[in-house]
Amino acid sequence: MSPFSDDDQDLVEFLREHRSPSPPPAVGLENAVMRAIATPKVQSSPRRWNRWIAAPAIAASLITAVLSYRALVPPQPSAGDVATLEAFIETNWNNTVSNRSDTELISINDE
Amino acid sequence: MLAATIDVIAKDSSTSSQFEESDQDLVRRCVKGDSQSFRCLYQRHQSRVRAILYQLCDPTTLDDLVQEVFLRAWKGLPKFRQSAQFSTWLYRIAWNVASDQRQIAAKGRSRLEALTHQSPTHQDAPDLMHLHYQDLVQRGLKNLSFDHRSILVLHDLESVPQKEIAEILEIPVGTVKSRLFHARAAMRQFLYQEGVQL
Repeated sequence: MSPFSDDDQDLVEFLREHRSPSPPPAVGLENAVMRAIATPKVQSSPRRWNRWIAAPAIAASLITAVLSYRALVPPQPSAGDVATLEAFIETNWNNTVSNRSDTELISINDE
Repeated sequence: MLAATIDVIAKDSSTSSQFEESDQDLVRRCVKGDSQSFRCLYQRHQSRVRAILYQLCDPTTLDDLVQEVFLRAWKGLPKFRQSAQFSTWLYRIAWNVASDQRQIAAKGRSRLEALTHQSPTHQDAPDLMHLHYQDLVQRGLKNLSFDHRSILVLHDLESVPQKEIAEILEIPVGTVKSRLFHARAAMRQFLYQEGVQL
């Protein structure tokens, strides 16, 4: 199969015939390329850098997470604290209920 | 003396065998750090890379761009998929370098006029009509958008198959066909306006 249609063949041939040849490479270009690649590979540095930076970063993240958890989550109250709190709530509730019933009784009797 | 002769013969045979090796074999050697294999790849592909860049970029920086292409290739070789074709991958790099250079040039770097680098250095006595047509083709290519020019250069001038172009430019084959159609139409129109009857 032809890579181009017959209609375009004349155009393609014209372009190929009259294309400008690229200028020859500078003397020593090949050696310059070979010298350039002879330097240590650049890509190895970021990889090594990544490896060295990754471990401390993960450790720092874990420490931060643990400290944040400890700081943000309230500590569990002791058994004594819980008992004191229950007693306070109970007393408070009883006082509230008893006061309320008195006033309601008074108001009903008044009516 | 004999040992030296044997050494020279061995070197010669290893060099000639490198030339016969496939790109994939040379790439494998390069990845292991064999820079001489990379020299073979350079010698094998530099002229085509050069021709592509010449049509897509400012020719005054051609040597630098060729060097940049092969440097990027060397650095990227460890990531190169062995299943892929080396030339396709290399032309992709060349196209990327051309795109980058074009963007830099678009940001205001002064460019030489097309006619200043038209002088054919290879030909001893080119006739005037041939020079005129060369100028037209060069101007016609410059007249195209970068996408259309890339397609025309790769397909019509460098004979790269459409499927490979699709891989190089990372576009569907249908888009390659479409762009090729429009690029040729634009080029034909330009030549017609300049008085060329094909």
